[in-house]
Amino acid sequence: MQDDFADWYSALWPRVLRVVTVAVGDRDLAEEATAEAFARALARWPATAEVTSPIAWLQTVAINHVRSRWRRGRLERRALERMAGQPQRHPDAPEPRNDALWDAVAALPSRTRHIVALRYIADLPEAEIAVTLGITRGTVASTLSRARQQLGSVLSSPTATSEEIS
Amino acid sequence: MTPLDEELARHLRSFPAAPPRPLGEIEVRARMLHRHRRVSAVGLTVTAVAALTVAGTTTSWWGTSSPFDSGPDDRAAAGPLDHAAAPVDCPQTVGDAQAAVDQAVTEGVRHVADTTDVPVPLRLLWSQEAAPAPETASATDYTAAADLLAPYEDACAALPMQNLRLVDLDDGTVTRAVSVSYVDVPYVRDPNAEARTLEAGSTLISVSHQEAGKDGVAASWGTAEGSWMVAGSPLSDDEVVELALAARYTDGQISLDQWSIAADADYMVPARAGNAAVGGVFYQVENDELILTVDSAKENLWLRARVGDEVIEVNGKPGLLHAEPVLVSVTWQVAEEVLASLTTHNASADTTLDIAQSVHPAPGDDPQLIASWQADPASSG
Repeated sequence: MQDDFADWYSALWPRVLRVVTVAVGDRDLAEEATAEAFARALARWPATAEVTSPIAWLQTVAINHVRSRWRRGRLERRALERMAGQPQRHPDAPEPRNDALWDAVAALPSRTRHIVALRYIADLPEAEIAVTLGITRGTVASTLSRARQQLGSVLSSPTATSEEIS
Repeated sequence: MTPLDEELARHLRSFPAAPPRPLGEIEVRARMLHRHRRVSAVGLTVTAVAALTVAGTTTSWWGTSSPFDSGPDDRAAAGPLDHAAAPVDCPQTVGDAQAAVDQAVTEGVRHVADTTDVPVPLRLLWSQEAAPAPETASATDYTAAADLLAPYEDACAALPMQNLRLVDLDDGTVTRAVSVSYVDVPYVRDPNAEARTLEAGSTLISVSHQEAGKDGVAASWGTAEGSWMVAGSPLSDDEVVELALAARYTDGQISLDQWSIAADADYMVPARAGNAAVGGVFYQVENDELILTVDSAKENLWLRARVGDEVIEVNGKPGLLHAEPVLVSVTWQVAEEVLASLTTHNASADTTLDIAQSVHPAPGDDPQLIASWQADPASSG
């Protein structure tokens, strides 16, 4: 199809996949959902190219795709495992190099993970996160504050430091 | 951003990401979505998808791990029965059917705008004394998705599918939970998903990779006439072989009369099928510690049974308690065709059961419900 979509796709894929992975807590599922989101974008191309915040749009489609499947029961068990901070491991996907941080992120409540992903990976401002998720800016701020404390303690621990990304 | 924010961002953005899927895959999927958007609705082979769901496979459009997926060459096997009835682009394979159902769910989904619009049997809430107030509440109505599919039941050749869930109990605990499925499409063996094989007479049974840390078994076999799958635990190789020899599909029904496991089962219930797999209303209330979901998708409690579940009662209704080290869930049959499930994070089984026992019908003007209601869903794309 369109060359401009191919460029758009390859440029946005890594960041969208990371956002969805952190939000979902399951890299296997995140990859499927991210691919679905890009396919839906292509099905609407070139209108999708005009979206103001493509990362926010794509991650929303991907997360909704996950929820749709979760709702239908297929992935309920895996979703529950994610809630417990036991992310599934995709045998062929690269592992995060800072496992302590990954585990800490995976153990966060689902909405907190989603907010963390949008703030730190998608680089969305708090106001835009609030609009994207349909919550107040105050909730975004307080949730980020709690997450910052939890994840910050992991980053400052000696174990995490020793696994620092080289 | 503070230095800590910057450090967090740096670490999170450096998590390795799998490379993009081949663009060709995205294009094929996009064309399928586009095609389904052009036709006004989709055909029906929902049953096949429902069966795969119940069987617990991770089959998806993106993956071809299902032994039930038939390739393009098989497309002549099923076809429109009466194109004059409606200009329907009927799905021909399980993969097409799943995409069609996904599309119907996407296009037919409707967020419930107001708490008073939630059907009464679903609008439940735990008591304030039992657990902290909910932070978010929402409901999604999928009945329009089912409506999108319904008019095409007569126009398209459905893939006949049957699914049976067998559950054994011992002293109030689930000791076996197995799903047997059949779909009327040629069997295609998938060596990539095969860990080993078994022989049942002249039939070769493909045993799929088992998930690490789980003792479940998934096996499939079939002929040019149709495909079988069994998934669950515990299942010995001998039991799988016996099933392959005993299972029959006649007059649109699975018969397991000759399988000893079925003869001894405490419950043998058909799984969701047809539009029931898609329709219904899904209501969810949660805070950081627990999630309460209520689903009116015509599910039977025993379809949710897992090995180790304890049979319980919740306010006089039959239920199942599933306890893991961190997660505890209680699922119960609130009403006919309405299942509720409450899952806690880091709470004991007793506490979880107490919270479940406190769940009660909530009025539409319940202040907690109104305060937590999410009336504006994100775009479904």
